[in-house]
Amino acid sequence: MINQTVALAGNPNSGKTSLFNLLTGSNLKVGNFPGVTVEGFSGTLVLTDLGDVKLVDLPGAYSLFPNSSDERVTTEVLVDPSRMDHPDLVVYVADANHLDKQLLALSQILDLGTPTILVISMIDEFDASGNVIDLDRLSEKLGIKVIAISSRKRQNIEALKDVISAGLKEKWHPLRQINPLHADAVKMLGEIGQIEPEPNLYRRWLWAHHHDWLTGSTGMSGAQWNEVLLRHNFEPLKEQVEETFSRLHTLEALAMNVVSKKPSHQSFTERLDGVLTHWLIGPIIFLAVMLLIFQAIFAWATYPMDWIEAGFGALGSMAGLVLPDNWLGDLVTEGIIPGLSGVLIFIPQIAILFFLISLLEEVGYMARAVYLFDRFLQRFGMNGRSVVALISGGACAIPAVMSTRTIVNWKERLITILVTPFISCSARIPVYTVLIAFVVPYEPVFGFFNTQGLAFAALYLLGIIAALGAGWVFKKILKTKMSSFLIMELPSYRTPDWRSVWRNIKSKVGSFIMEAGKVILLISVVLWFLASYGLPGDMDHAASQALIESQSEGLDAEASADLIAARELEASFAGKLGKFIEPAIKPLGYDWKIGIALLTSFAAREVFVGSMATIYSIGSEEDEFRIREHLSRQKDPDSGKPIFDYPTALSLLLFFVFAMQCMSTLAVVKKETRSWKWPIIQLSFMTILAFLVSFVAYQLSI
Amino acid sequence: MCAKLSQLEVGRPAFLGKFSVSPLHRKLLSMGFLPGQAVSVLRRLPLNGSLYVKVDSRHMALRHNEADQILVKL
Repeated sequence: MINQTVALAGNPNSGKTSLFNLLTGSNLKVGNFPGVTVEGFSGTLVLTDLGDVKLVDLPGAYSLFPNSSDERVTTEVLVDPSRMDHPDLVVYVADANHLDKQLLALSQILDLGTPTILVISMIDEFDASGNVIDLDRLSEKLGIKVIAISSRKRQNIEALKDVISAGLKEKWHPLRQINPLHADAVKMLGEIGQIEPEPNLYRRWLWAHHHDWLTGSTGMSGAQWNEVLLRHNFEPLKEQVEETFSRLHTLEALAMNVVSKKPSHQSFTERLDGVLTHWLIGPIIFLAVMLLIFQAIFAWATYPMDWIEAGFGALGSMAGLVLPDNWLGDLVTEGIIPGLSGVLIFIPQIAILFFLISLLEEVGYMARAVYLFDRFLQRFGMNGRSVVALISGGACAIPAVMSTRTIVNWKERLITILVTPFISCSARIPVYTVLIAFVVPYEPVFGFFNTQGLAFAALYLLGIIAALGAGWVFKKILKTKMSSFLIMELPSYRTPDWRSVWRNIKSKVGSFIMEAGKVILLISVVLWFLASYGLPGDMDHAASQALIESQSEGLDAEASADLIAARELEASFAGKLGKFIEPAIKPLGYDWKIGIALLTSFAAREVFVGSMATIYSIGSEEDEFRIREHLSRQKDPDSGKPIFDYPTALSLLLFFVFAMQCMSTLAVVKKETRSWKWPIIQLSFMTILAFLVSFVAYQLSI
Repeated sequence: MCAKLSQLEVGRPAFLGKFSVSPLHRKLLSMGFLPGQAVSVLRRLPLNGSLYVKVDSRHMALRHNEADQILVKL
């Protein structure tokens, strides 16, 4: 049974999350740039003598006077004993190499009287540079246990677990007050103590600072707080600045006594950054790296994607043989199996992209990209940190939207969420592949490019332009009072921690499967129903008509089966829906068949290709090139002109660039913004834009 | 002599000047930056873009308007 809670606290980049990964088996991400961990993740720590203990990884915080929502979460958990995650023991992690700068929050936690252990991390790097630290003396000065570890080299991890056990059993309260409160504060807190019996003075003090946003009840009403604070002329910001000053001076003196450090030169980092963060070369290198990444995704992901497709194809035919020939069998072979395949097919691309992104984060490069693009993205209502979301959007908007949690300013975060789905994700690729040949004939350009490849790149570029343009518009519309900070540390470059890279891939792919998987699966079942059933009698009538027609035209067995399937679909609920929306999409150049495919692609955009195959009775086993060939032969029954001509295909391509054709993303946006308002706005403006652009493109090109 | 960090020339050594009572300075303090620490601008992006700054032995990035609020002693 889990009955005790241990919390890991420390600055961003203190090595806290690497340690968390070592101590637990939970999915979690750690990045070499401030603020990657945004929510308190938790896992289970198994101790030899106490059994299972809950381990919470608090968001990185510099201080308990929070400057960001991350720090607020940490502050709240630590100062409010009624919070669920309030720890029995705090394990405070500080980087040995920057010890004097990383103890501020620790000093505050000690003054709260919470049992605490100090873990000095990255001791291997520290020792290797010839530095010396006197752990006994540090322990004596702080009045708590201190232990030095290295997550990378697995030094002292078992010893740390024993210390945690002992700390939990013996309740090691800190022995000293680090920064005694001044007389006026004590007087005021004495008065507060008459209403609020909390025994720890420093806790009362932090409540006084944060009473307006702390959600836990402090036993005093807002009016009572205001009355006391006003009477004592309490100036929170001034008090916070002065107290922080005083703490830093104490800690600096303390660190000077226990650490003897050789002057460090990050000459490697500085020389590398001379190029990587150069105002002109830096962005060029960044773009080149992105091009390489997307090339790699296309090159590497094809093979596993083919295997998945083949595997599910085989599974489908096998199930078809084994299962009974009734609605249940159909549900499995035509609803569930294609649905699962539609989810899993994206995993290779998503995994590869996040492998490369986490690698860049781990070595410290992403923080440089944030620095390079902050100013540029601010023009479009976003911020440097939006870079990560926008790149991730190239794989899938779902993990991309979730990654915006690191953006502190709400307006900038919201805009990033709203525009990220414009970035062409992996689900658009099959649609582009099928349609592009109708728009651009294949011709080599300069020997190594070709016209279709360039058109592909142009569609991606169009998505990026749409994202920036929409950001610019939202920036003008949305108002905010919250201030926006960039100020952040640029960590030294280092070799990646592979364990963290692996954890990160697992958590991103996991979020895709959990969030998108459910929706895609559910919708494919609903679509199967809509496409397989119609009003009573309609389907049978259509089937018998088709049979008569195929006999009179002397079609072979396969062709007549395809014809029957197509006519049945026309008579089904899905066909009715397609015809219902036809007037609305006619001006864009689409008939009711494309209408059905558009509706079905709300599950995931790539479903469009499969639906087209079914509707135009091509047979679902065909690959994209065969489908394309078949589509090119489709003729409009009235005019006899080909349906997939240049105007219609162009209009469809543009529709897919701009339209919000993804229910799963909308569900995630609802979750992240905590309201239906934003996903509805997002769906509306993207659909309207897609309609307008496709309309204009079609009307101009016919 | 005093100046704003935003106006400090690239490569010129200076020291962090007096802090004031503001959220930005509270944030600087909590990151462990203190008046008197050695500071220099390693590089900056054009058109009032972000600054790449070294304080003591640590590197940080900040916006031009943030650097505008930080005083340095030459």
